[in-house]
Amino acid sequence: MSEKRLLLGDEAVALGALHAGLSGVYAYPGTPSTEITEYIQKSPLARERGVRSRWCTNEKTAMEAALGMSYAGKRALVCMKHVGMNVCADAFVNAAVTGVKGGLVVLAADDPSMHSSQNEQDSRFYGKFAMVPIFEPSDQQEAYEMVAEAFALSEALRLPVLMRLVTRLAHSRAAVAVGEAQAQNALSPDDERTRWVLLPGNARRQYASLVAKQAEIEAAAAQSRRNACEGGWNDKKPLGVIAAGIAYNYVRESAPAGLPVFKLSQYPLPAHQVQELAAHCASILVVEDGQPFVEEQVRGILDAGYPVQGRLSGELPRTGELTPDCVARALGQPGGPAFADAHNLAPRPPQLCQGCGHRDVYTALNKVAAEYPDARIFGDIGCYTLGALPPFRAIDTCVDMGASITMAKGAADAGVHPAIAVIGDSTFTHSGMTGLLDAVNDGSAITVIISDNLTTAMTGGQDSAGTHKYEAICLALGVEREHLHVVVPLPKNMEEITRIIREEIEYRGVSVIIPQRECMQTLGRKLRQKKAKEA
Amino acid sequence: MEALRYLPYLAPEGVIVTASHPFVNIPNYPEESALLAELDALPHVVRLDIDALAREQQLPKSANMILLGMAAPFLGLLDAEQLRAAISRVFAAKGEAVVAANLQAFDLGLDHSQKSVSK
Ligand SMILES: Cc1ncc(C[n+]2csc(CCOP(=O)(O)OP(=O)(O)O)c2C)c(N)n1
Repeated sequence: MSEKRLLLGDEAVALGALHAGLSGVYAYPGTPSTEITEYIQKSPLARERGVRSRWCTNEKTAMEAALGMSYAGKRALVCMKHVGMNVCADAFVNAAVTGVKGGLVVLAADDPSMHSSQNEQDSRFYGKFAMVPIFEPSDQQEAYEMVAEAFALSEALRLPVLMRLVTRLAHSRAAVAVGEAQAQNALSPDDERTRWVLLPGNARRQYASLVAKQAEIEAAAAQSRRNACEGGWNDKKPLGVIAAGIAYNYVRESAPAGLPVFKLSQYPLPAHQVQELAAHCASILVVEDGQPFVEEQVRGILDAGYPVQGRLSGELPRTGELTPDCVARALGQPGGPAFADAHNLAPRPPQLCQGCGHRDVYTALNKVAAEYPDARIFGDIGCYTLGALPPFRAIDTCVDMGASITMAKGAADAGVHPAIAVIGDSTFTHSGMTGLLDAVNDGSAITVIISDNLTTAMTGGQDSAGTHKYEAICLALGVEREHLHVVVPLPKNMEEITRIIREEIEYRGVSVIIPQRECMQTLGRKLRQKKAKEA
Repeated sequence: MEALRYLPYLAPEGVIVTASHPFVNIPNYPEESALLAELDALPHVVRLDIDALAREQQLPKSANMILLGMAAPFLGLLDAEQLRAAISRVFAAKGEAVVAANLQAFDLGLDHSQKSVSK
């Protein structure tokens, strides 16, 4: 390896995958994973090699398409933010039962501290649940190198490999020494139908073989050079540390010399090394970002009564991402900011952009809702969630992608009226369409607003899967023509928009209103690109 | 204000390099005088009204390069020569005049830092 590049953790994964002979990336955008796919979309090497990289409609379609590419013998990468794992869980868990042919790496980027997420679930639990190997690089260099190792292990074990990043690793840059690109796999579709057709008879056999592979995947983790014993493991020490993934850096920053550290970047957790560490140390501190995944298992491996410290015992905070300071304190080292918070600070809550069409949608909705004291507005996930904040304070709920339509439907079933759903265009195709079909079939009295800005704005303006197709989709799902409206959300159209909302609230069935106007950010970007081209 | 926001992340010997004229774009932005007083009470601050200097020197688009010049002595990773080379490379496509203006701005900032450190 000679060439050095300055790369985000996400970009290191992307380049690592391309150099490992990737044939397709399948992904739905989500912070902090988005830049992986964007890097591949812009990569000359990917273009030259015909690497498939368009955005998918949601994480489940992404996972299944990647499994199809793997079935055909080629290497595929699936990328998502942590909550995307919930959406594709059915495909992911069953892909461990069928197994794979071409290497399949599933990358989940977790967001402890919820910088831009609604929870801080830890994707490693999904890996354990599906009984597949989990890779958790500690820095950008490992992220780059471990992708190739993940593809190789995936093909050797014929299992998907889960790779986990956290926000700080995904979104920070480091110099990465990069190698050469290896060849892509040739087309070679699998012929073993008994593996791929999960009828109960086959599934029982496949599941038994997955269980039988567990010793092998644990041995792979125990022998992995990514899991390393550091510091003195010879004589008895008061404290030893298990440092998982990015936490290894925080430990190194403040660890006193000679502290026994088990650096952990590949799972399943090797029980033997944990026992070894415990034999040399009077107590163990588990340092891991996210939920106490390792800490719980360590408690199971060691005798009851052996002192295990971490997030559960309170040495480290139970929630939120780790910091070098909190890790230093847990190690009994001085730690803490040199300077206190400044006094003259004003908060900057996120806001909808000036001129954004979502603003006009909420202005209209608030006007009409004021006339209906019982109105409930079910929101969804995207830029338009900011309608919850001042000055609009317009929405009553926001839970998970697609839940606006289905929650409005359930509330309407219970008797809430008006029940109004507000959903973005990308969120609608991600997981709103099926809920709309339920509502149509039930004739639920809901008013659905698909606020269409022609893009996936929240995550940086990626193409949205259904652009220019929303009317056709709604009609095909059974929404009646006379209760389907497209409007342009601009102040000058306020009277028309409020009138339509009022009329559709009065209609006791499913109606859909599509305010349609391009996002100010993507519009500005296009104009700038055009200007640059002309110059 | 944004320079002060990340104060708890600053190392004991760390330096704050900032423009001193605030970009006020929210209604409850703190008083400029209070901000400067809080900044000046800190141990290592290099500040300059880069917008005014850029206007004065007829380099209206290069205020950010003045700031980069101010930061140059403290970066540790790259020295001033490497930064000058990078500026020349980045702006090369826009012509010699633009490169020269940005280098001039960079040197103004560098000069300011060197003077304030030696004071
Ligand atoms: C399951 C899941 N996947 C991805 C995300 C990340 N995410 C949040 S909002 C959003 C895009 C929303 O786009 P759209 O509905 O068009 O609304 P806009 O932001 O454009 O207003 C995405 C991808 C998420 N929160 N949950």
